[in-house]
Amino acid sequence: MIAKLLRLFPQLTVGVSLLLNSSQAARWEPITDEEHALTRSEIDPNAGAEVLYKFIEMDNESPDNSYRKYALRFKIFDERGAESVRQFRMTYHVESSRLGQHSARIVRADGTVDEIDKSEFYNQKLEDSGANSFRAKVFTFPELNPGDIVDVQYRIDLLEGYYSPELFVDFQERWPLRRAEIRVRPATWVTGFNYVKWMTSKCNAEGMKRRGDGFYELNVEGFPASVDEPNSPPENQTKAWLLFYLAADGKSGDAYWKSQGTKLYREMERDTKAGSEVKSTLKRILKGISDDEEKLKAIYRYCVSEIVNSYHGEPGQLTPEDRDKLDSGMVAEKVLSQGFGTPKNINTVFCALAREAGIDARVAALSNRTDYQFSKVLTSIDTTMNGRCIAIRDGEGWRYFDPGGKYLPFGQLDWDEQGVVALVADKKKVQIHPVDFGKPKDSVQKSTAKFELSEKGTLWGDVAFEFAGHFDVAMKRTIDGKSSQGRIDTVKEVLSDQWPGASFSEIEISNATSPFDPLKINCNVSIVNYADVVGDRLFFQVNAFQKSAKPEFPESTRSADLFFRFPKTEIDKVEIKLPDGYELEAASAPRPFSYDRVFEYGPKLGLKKSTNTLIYSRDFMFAGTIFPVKHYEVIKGFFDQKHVQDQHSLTIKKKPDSDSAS
Amino acid sequence: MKVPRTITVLSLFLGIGISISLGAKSKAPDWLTEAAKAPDPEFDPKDKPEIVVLWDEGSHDFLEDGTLVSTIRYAIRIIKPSGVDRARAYAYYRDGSDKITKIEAWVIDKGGDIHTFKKNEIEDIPTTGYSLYSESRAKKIDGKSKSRTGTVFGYEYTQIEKSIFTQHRWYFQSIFPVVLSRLKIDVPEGWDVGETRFHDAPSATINVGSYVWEMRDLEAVKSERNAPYRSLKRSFITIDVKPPNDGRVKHSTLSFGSWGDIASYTAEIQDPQITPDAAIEAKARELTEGVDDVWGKVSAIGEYVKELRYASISMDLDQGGGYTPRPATEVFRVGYGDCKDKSNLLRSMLKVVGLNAYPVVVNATDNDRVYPDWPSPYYFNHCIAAVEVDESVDTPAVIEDEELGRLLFVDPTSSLTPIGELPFDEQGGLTVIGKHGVDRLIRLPQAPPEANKSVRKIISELLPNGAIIGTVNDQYHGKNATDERTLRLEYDEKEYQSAYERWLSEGNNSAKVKLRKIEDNAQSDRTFEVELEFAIPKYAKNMRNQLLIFKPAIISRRDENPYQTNSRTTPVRISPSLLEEDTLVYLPHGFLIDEMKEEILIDSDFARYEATLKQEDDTLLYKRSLRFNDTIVSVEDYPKLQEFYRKIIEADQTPVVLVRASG
Repeated sequence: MIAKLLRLFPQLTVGVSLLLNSSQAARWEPITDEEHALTRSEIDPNAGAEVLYKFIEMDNESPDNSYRKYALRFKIFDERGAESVRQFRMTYHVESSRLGQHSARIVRADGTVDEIDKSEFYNQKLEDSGANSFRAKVFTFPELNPGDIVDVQYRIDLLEGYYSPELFVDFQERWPLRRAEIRVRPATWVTGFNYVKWMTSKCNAEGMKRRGDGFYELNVEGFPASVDEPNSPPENQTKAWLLFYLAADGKSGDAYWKSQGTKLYREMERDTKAGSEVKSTLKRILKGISDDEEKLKAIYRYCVSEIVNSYHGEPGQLTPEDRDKLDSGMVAEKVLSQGFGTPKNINTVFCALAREAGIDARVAALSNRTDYQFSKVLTSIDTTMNGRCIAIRDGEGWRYFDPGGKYLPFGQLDWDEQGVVALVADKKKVQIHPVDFGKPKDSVQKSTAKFELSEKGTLWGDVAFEFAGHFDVAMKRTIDGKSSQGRIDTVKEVLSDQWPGASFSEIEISNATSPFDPLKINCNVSIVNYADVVGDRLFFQVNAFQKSAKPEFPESTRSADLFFRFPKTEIDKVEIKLPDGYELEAASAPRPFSYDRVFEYGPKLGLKKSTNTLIYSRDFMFAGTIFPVKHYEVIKGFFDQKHVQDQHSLTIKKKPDSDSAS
Repeated sequence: MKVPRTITVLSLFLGIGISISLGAKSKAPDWLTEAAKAPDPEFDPKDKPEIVVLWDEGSHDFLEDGTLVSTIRYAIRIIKPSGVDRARAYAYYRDGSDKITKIEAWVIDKGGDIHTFKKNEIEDIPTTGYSLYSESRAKKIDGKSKSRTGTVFGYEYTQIEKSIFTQHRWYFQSIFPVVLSRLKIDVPEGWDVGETRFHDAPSATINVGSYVWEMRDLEAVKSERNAPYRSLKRSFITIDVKPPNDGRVKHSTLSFGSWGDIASYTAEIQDPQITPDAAIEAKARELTEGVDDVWGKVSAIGEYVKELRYASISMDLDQGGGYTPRPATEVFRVGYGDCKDKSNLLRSMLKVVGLNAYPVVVNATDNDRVYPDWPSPYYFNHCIAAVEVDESVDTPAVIEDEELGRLLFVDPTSSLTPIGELPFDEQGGLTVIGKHGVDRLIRLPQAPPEANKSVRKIISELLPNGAIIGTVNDQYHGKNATDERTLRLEYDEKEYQSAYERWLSEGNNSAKVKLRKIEDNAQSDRTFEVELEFAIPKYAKNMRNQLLIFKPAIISRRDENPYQTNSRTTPVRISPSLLEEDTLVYLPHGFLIDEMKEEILIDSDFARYEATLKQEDDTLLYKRSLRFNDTIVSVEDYPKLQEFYRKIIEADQTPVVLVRASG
């Protein structure tokens, strides 16, 4: 029997709790008195509906009788909840499965039952592209009212020889979930994938239990609905879920990661083996350099600037024939001989050159901050560590480099690969090490302006922006693929968000595609009505760069933890020459504040009397990366305070003895 | 394992064989080769298009039995990197009645190399995501991954249609520059082809049953904010094919020569479906028990039908299924339906209680779609009902028609629009009422600004430290009420409160909000009312405890001109609305008003803004109103519109200066 792998496709996970034949009438899990009596969700009293019961049974024990069964029961609490439980689509993969035993009903608050007639289930053809054809049964519920209970169930039978290698169950969807029951009997008949593994996140359960009949079972309860709030951590890290899968490697914990580290090492040795290309290249680029750090920098510079990265494949860099040759599995010798490669190829070359130069360089696998949080328990390197970089030994520890990453400076990884965990290739030992976050000083946005203010309230002058670290990488990646005019248009759009209604001229962009030099933007700005004019007074915000800034966290309450991409520094410097004949009135300065090296806000404001010019600067440093929601009030307080201080305003008034101000 | 290794080796050899055979130059069809030679048309380098359309050609060949065989050829050149997303071929068809007999696509790169897409790269996809069932599908070839700037992507497909419809449209212009656009129609002897031309579209060149329309080097149609659709002046033609009535024609049989034809067709396919059964009769009587007046009956039945679920089932589209409702009895039994199903059930139930209603076809998303010169059902994407009512019914959705009398329009699909009003996007649009003999378009009523107003009352206190606290009472009418209902349905109470906090924080520091009242009066005066308490820290700027400066427009203070672009080529449609706001501010003890603008009036033909400030003892009364009339601002008057917004931004931002009383 040839086992055919069936990857589960996204679908609404509803199903049945009882074995049914298609000829049988639907049988339903009895509704309890408690379920009948519910008038609002005990998990979230604001919820409009709740999933009372979610059941999934996946049985792959027999190659000719594999199936998945789903059942879902809702309670409707209000009109909003009724609207959310509307149309159901039960999707299946045509080439590998059939859907049947589908039924649905509404149990009204008074106990009457409305079964959805079989004729009301419609067949829908979805995408159809060769081996990937999907169909669905679709139906809609008629009028739903508060107090109604809705039941849906169906079964997907896999065709002979197919099995599901994994099951992912999300316990936090659009509604609170009261109770879930998951049963899985794996495909023990599949050769090569003989090991059963599973992992749960935020389930508050001991885990899956193996029953006498071979089913693994998980019973969990009490999950709130998922929430969608800005600055939230990635879903895989915040939501409750179960991942059940078959693995070829039965090792667990350190033993698994040791074997993966060894595998990485073997692959690295194969890919970085030094031949004539590596040796001659190294000789050329290290001429006259003896210090290891300088060698590393020279190698990095070579890899970034001399090998065409497929990332930089905009017209003119790589021909279609070149693109056809791209292969991330190439060895360093071949990449060097052809002069171009994928980001992974370039890292391979970097590693090969460094190793040939006598530096202990290794390939390392990285977890990702936007994906699963690394855990030794989840023994699947493809799932939890799908990033790659090069580790360089640094005393007892390691430093990490990614010359294949677009615009990444020496020693910096992408923001989502910092603050994670790395598995460093090693022949013998398991080498799992933390990868530090960057420092706030590594990612800096510097904004400088020299303005004049007219007595009509217009602010105009020259502004300059300079970016470093992650700011630099992000901005370059935003504009590098555009034409010169396209870049200017993009910059204009960004500036227009900052100063709506302003006009911009003489926009100059420097180092837009430089892998080494910081991106710089210079332009001239004119903002009509910047200052509010009332009688003889002008009233204006000093930090013009923050003129349109909104409070970062206006909501007074929050449900999700706070997630920030990277530590950063913002430096704003503003000079404003005041109109002749005007003087400051009751002026004050914004206040500095800080908190435990996480949040530092340092404004300075002065007046250069000789030119009647305000001199303002403001350094803002934020080292935060993630905070539990219980700290929301504190973090919100910092950002609110920053917003208030950024909005600091001054009043100037025409001097009594001033005839005119021109 | 040995077996897989053997397979791998075999695969390698196969791979070499395949690559050799593919190594031979692919060939593009002649039309595409010719298209690729065309230079780019001139365009403003500052306004570079994503793509240029090199070739846009449709050839429609009508067979003797009315079957339509169409060949579509289309080619683009990618100008900007974002244009690669346009390198996609779609051949739309109706499953069951149409056939796509061939679809091919090619990419020609800058160097002239040609890639021909293989059959296994053709996808077949549904084109409606929301329907319970739909026959609408498309064959698709995605050329994005093979395309870069400078490459030419082209495709060709052949489609066989067996439909009753005889009307066809062809748009010469696109939102991108077009080098060539051509439509060719071939009909058998004895057939007529009628053309109606719009916005400089050419006449046909005719040669024995073959009609050709062609335009070259066309500028892109520029879409501008709030431009009425017809003002875009996109060149297009409409074709009415008329086969002879000789019994040989099985398809292409449904002609529309007048608006009366469409009214009759609508009545013919809809009226037979409204016959009520005992269940409908019982429900209609139950809903109207004890109700004697017309308004009460329409309200009760209308609200019931509105609450039924919307679900679309699109079948028999080639036979006009898209316009034909399911029988009212079936819709009532299953408890859901689409727009025509729900309108039809509404009519059926009203009939039970003695009220007559007509089906009405409308455009639900754009009230400026209909060209009166070309009668066609193609303009319409939605169905509502017009109920004959008496004088007792007086709402914004009523018109007095000379021929049909007093009509109340009801949209039972829009569950958040109260009976008595129409969804905003439908208002003012031209419609066809499905009644035999009504040979004209009828305009839906457009509610005046007063019907879409927001009435806001703010009572607040400014504290010496600059904080402001207070209450807001917002009463929304018409469109604003519907928008608010939509928001409320989307959010739970906590999220709804957060939405208000975000709104009050705009242009201010973080606001704290506590909702006091949310009241939906959809079935009484049709308003939606929200009352809340708020607090905004450091709202007024405190200058060394000597001055307090604050803006009396506390919320929804404008700071961005929606019409910043100085050039404009199309008029601006202004939607009717009205804001009436009264704000009472208790001033902090020990401070006096030093400067304020007592009155600001900005008036124009299209809008009027008025703000007044009046001090009474220790309070300040700020009144602000902004009224937009239902009008179209011409291109010539566009600078006046810009200036109007500039002035109201300035007015909204004007502060009041308080000074600490000496002594």
